[in-house]
Amino acid sequence: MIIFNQVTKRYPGGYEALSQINFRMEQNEMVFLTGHSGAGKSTLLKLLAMLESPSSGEIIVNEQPLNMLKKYQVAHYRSQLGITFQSPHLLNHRTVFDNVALPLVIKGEQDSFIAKRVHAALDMVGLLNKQKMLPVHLSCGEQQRVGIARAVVHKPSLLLADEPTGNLDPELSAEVMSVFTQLNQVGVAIMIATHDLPLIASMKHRMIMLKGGRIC
Amino acid sequence: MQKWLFLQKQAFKTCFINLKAQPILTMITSMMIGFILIWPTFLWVLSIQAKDIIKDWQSHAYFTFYVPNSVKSAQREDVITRLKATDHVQKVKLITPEQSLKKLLTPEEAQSLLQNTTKNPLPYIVEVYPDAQMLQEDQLMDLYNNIANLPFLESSKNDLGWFQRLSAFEKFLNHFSLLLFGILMLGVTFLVSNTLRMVIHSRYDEIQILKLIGASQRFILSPFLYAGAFYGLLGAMVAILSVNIIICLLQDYFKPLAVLYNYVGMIPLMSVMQVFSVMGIAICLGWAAAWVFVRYYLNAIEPV
Repeated sequence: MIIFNQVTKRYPGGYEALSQINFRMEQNEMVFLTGHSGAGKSTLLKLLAMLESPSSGEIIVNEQPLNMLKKYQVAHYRSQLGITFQSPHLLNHRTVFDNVALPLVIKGEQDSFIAKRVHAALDMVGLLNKQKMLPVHLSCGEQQRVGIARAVVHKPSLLLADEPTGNLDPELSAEVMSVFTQLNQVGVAIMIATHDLPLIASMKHRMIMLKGGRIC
Repeated sequence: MQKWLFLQKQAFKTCFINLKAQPILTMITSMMIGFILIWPTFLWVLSIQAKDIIKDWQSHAYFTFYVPNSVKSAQREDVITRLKATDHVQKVKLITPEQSLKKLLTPEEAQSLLQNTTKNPLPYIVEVYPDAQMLQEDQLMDLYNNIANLPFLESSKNDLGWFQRLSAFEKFLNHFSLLLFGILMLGVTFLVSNTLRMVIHSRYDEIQILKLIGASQRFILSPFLYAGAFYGLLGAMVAILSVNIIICLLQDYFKPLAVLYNYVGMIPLMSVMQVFSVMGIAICLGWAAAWVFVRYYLNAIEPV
């Protein structure tokens, strides 16, 4: 369960990206976060990923207040998340397989287990035949899908996706959303920030609309 | 344990992928570490050799005492007996005035001298040889003082002044190499640190991504620790090879110098123990430098 309690994020210079945000999200929920550019969608996801810290207020994830986490606990917290951004953040000198395997390698899983899970994740995003390629040899859409495969390969308890379908055609977008739905059905909480209103409409999940850093 | 081993295997693999990705940097760093290590290593080998030479000379050391001709034969015999019974005395040799004369002069010169004097003016000489365990300068000094206190022994001479100078030089060489070793090791540490800083800078994005997906500090740090140790190992190998080449090149010049000082021997190549010591120290230094500095650099990187 995720709780945002009076969360405000103010950047140096006084710009307030988020103001007094309050909401709850259940463990098996899938929530769309929408709003115009600069509305605060990415900031909200960054707060959840602990890439930023709130200026005031409290964020609680699975009964753990994030501001109470020690620095060495942050890595463990992030390892339980699945994070995918519009820019896929891939390691360009490592193969697709190695990139997707990273969250499992970090956890110290066995090679055979890693291979099984990576193949399943790549199959899910339709890139199993490209596992030995380097990311630089893939299209933007394919790189995006590698990022998604990496975000879901370790079956995270919370998946944060920032414009996950931004570089994908409608057909692939639908496939990716279907993957997210499957994950959600097995209990993974998913928060997706997107501009794509038709996509949101087609999914029939809760939507949080942000405007000027506030929920409206 | 299995998980730890798996993570170490991963770190090792990542380390070598990164080293292979930057072969020029790896080579230059290792060469520089090697050149820094040459001097303390060479001085260390030299100081060990100097110790051996001093031991060799000290094992040939003896004291010379004079027994005046006025001392009666029985008293002289008594002194010799007491000397032989003294602790740490291996051998006592009595040289008669006649033997001394023969040693000093040719038979013709001796004949001529004896024609002009009524009797041989040379005294009895007693040469005292300390046993093989008496290699320390202070031990020899104590023994010398004990013997010098015996009656009827006079005007003695010893080689202790020479040993004192030699020992002082050996101590200086030891301390100098230790000091140089310390300073240059600090240099190695900073060199490894600076190289790893450059590597971290070139892998900045990768580290950010690793942190983003939840890699622990230890997971990110481990490949750098192995890289630091590997730089140290390669550097040590360069140093060991260079020092042995220098020793080989110096042998021809060392030999005539050694002969002048009654030393028969060569500068030996580095022993297996010395080779492993230099490697071990360099590996530890590389590892330690990575441990101290990389953690500091990594702390400054946060995912965005």
